[in-house]
Amino acid sequence: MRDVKFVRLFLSTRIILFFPLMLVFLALPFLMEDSSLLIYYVVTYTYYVILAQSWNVVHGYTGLIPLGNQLFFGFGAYLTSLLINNGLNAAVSLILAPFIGSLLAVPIARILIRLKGLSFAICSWMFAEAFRIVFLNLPQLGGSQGYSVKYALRLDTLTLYYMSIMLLIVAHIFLHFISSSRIGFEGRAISQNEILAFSLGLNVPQYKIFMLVFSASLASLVGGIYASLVLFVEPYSAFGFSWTIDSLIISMLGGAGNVIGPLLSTPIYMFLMDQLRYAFGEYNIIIIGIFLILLGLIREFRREKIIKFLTAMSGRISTLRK
Amino acid sequence: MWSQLLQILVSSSLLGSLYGIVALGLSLAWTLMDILDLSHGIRILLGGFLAYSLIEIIGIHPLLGMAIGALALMMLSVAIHVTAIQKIAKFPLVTLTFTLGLAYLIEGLGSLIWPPGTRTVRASLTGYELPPSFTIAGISISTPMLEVAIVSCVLLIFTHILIRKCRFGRTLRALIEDSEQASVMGVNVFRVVLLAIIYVALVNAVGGVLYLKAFGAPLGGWVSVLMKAFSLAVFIGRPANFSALFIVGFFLALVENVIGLLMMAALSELAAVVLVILILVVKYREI
Repeated sequence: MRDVKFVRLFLSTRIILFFPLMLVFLALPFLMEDSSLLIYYVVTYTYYVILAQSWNVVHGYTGLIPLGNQLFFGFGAYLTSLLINNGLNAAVSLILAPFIGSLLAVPIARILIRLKGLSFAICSWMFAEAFRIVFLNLPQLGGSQGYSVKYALRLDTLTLYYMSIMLLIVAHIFLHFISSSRIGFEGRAISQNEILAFSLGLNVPQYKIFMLVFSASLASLVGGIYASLVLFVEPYSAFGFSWTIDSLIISMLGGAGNVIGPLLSTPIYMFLMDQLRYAFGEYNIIIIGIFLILLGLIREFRREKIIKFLTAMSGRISTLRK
Repeated sequence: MWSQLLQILVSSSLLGSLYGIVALGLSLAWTLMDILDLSHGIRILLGGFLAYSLIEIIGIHPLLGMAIGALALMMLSVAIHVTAIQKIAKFPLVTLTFTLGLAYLIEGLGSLIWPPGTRTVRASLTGYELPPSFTIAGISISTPMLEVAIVSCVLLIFTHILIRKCRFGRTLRALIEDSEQASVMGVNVFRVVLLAIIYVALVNAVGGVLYLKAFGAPLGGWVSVLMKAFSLAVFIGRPANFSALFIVGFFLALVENVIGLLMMAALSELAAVVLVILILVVKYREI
């Protein structure tokens, strides 16, 4: 009974938090004189949230550990830049990125679903590495020098701001639908016990392909937003492993399979990273290392205690409401 | 044409043994504890950097420097295993984040001691001045690479004897096959795993010195070391067949060299990556 109350409270919190937050974001540029810094931070926030969600859907709903999200991020970034430079409208290019990214993801997902556990993790990373090496040796896309988006054809910053918020809302609605529908419950069943789920009649391979392709489309979208913001992509940063680490940390902070989690954990992560860069410069890697070590340990060994605490809190809130 | 082919074969066999050494620890951790140790690459480089400082900066004998580096790495590896890894090995995501965090932590702390930049061990392991290369039957052989290959081969042969002929190796293989059964049969699992960790640290430290001698690397270059190790570890698979490490290492070096010669040198790195994907998909497919 108490668990049901907790779920209800969680669902209502999701709605209470998300939409007013988005409304504030939409209104902010009108309230500020110089909004360039705000635009930069909010767009960065949106792409971190969507990136974390793209990692989250695979781990949270299939139990797999993807280490190759940077593949689709980099692909989306290059694709958007290429489409814009070839004269396609920048907004259309950005919207096309997740669709083309998901087309690329289908054959890769079909290969990846044959693997499990550590071999899946390594193989997904290797695919990303293969793409990095290929893009590094493509002179048409600048090779190691990188590829710039033509400034005259770029997406206006205010349009990018509103587009990224709208895309975040759309992605969130999709995720909300997945999480609260049959697909979400089946996914959680697969991540808990794949063999049992399969024996109960769930089409596990097809389900995994769906989640991987959906995750890839989200990552490609993020790549497109990144390229539209930075206007420059190069293989080392676009296909960098750091994107997977970022999404892993944000997702673990927010909770695997949790839709609202990354919305809250992203600003914490962004603030921490900014402060660390400011305080430690290039040595911030030490703190990231300690952070990663502690995050994993706390998540696994204190999770039950945290859940008990949250359930107790929700019980108290319900009592207070009555 | 023939001399070029022979040259490739010789350089591949010299390099193959080094690749075998680099992959040994990762393969053992994977097969013995079923963990993906992402800190493997940085541990190898740490061993190499410690020895580099002793050999190139302080100027002690290379073999002594290598031994001190190995000792330091052994103590660190045992401490990490006892305090953390043995407790988290059952949880894949935690192990992954822990070892990744460890790699970043070591890289960050290491960059406080060694500012960014490539380090190369130039001193000969014999302690004497040797010519940079020599020619036999028209084939040029680099002296540092020959030294690297000799030490790697000795270590691989020693590992093979240790695993196949000694009591420790038998218990280790039993643990890899079925740790619960081995435990029931009286094998002291903790002790055997700890001895394996110590041996792996020794191999990693030596591998680190050899890697810095053969290629030179910055401390941040641990990802490429890890990639090389992955390539071989997935090929060997489980149960661990360490004697095959040399053959697979040779094969990988040969593929890299041939692709480097035929196409673009930069694409030779792609060969290792594609090889890993192919092996994983063919060998580890579960459906």
